[in-house]
Amino acid sequence: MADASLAQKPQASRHTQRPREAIGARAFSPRMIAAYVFLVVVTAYFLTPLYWLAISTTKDNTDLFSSFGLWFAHFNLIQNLSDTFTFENGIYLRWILNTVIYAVVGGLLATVVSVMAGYALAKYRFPGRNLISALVLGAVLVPVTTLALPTYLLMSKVNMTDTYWAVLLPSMLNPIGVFLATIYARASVPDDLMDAARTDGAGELRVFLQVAAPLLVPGMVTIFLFQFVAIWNNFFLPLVVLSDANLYPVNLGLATWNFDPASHQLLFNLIVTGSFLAVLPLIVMFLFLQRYWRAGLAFGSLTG
Amino acid sequence: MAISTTRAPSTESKTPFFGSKSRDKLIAWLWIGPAVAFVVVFLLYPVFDTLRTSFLNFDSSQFVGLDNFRHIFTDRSMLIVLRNNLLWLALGTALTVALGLLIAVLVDRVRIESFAKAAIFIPMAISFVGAGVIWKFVYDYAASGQQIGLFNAIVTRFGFAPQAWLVNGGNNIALIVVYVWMWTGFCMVILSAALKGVPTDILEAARVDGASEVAIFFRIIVPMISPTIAVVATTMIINLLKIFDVVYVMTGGNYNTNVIAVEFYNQLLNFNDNGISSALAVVLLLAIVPVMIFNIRRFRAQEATR
Repeated sequence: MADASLAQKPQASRHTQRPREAIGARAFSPRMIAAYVFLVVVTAYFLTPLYWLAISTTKDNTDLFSSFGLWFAHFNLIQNLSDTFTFENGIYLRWILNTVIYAVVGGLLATVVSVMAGYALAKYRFPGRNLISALVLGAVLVPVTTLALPTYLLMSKVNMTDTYWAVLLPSMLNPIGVFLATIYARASVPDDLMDAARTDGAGELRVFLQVAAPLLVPGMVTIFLFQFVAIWNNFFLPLVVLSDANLYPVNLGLATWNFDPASHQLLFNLIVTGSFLAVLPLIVMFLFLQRYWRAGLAFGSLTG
Repeated sequence: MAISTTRAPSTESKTPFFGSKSRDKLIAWLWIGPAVAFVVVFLLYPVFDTLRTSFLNFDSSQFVGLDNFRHIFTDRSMLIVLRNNLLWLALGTALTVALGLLIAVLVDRVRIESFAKAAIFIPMAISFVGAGVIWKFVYDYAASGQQIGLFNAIVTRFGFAPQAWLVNGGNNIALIVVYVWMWTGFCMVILSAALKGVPTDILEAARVDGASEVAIFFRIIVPMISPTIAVVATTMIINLLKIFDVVYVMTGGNYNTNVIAVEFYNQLLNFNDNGISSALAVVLLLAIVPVMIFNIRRFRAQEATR
């Protein structure tokens, strides 16, 4: 059946279709069956834990620790949701809101900063450009987590620990964003178009805002998405610079529930439900915006 | 690409006499200023300060020379930390890249390509904390009674004794499996994009000549996409050098699973030893320097051929 449908696919649509037909003709060979089996096993490896998480959100604490993990027991989802959102005066909702603030505000600002810098690196020549490019390229690899101590000391010197700024400001450092923006700007903003605008009397600010920026929107989306997820999933930075639970992002909050040995077992339905809810928006984003992820990943790696 | 000296942008070549050059420079610095400021404040300064602190004692009141480093490379528990990091580096890189490549090659040929790709990619969206919660249950061990952990449910069904996966020997590998779960999708997506770029004529010519699929894979496909494999591998190496979340959330570094970044965290916030923690950070930074040089070189070479 595999070979029939493969053969029917329009062959001209993609250059790479042809060898598939060659493989498809041998669709029932042991090798092909082995390939399918392998992929099914691998897919199970990647999906089963998520399936477990989804199923587990419907169980109460007794069932979580006594029923078979991969199938439903008593349906307790509504109760779990209300427990999660009302525990400790609804602190979970607060954590979610904090995370959204960190990820959206931090992501937007980081994108603006990155795109401005990338645009300048791609489109202007100025002394120090090579140095800054090298700096950005090197900075991409530096594990920022290991710089927590000076960052923390810096924050406490200006009395910013335990404020939103303690998470937001370092989040605006985004070397990968600058790097991607440089590539996008070079590829998608023609010099002629900029010159034409200049000839028409547009200042550099207008050239950027009205000529370059609209062309850079797809790149901006990709950069924003990457930074959004990076901030959403960031754990180390908030762990170091925040001690007020009211400012925690959801990750850190869930981890404190998880680590508290006294409450661990009692709170497990909350931890499971909370984890699922925190993961949900990212999964939805991943599935619906796959185009941008792939573009960013492929662009960043193939050209860089 | 930002590194090389490319052709002069037309702003300069077309209007060299309008005195716009100095204005251009000023404007370029306006655009780039904020990014540079963040790099200096949150990256360069911390790097130098960490370097300085690594030569000082626990509360940075005294110069101790290389004592902190001597401790890291001689203390028994520290040596276990370093050994674990090497294990992570070797196994984590090998497994994510090999599995990612294998899946990319196979998925290219089956009908469920987009579904399989999405399924394998999804774990990347999940935070390490979320993954930690999930996998803690996968590995869950009950000393008696029903095994609710996924692995032990399977193992006992086949008649074997349940295992405490996160405590027994081999627990480092159990943790690496979680990392592989999260990052194989990333490798697969990038390698898959590179595979689409391998010209089909070459593959067909090899098939006509009677080359086996395995030979085609190792003799043609792998060499042709080796630059991309290098990119993916270096990304994994960097990730694995600084591995923190999985270990911190799942074992807290106990049972001989400690790694550099977790020990860094413990020294910093639990033992308040700024000297040792900074020295650990410096070890990590130094380990990354060769990768960085490799990356910049590769990048410049790529620029030269552009």
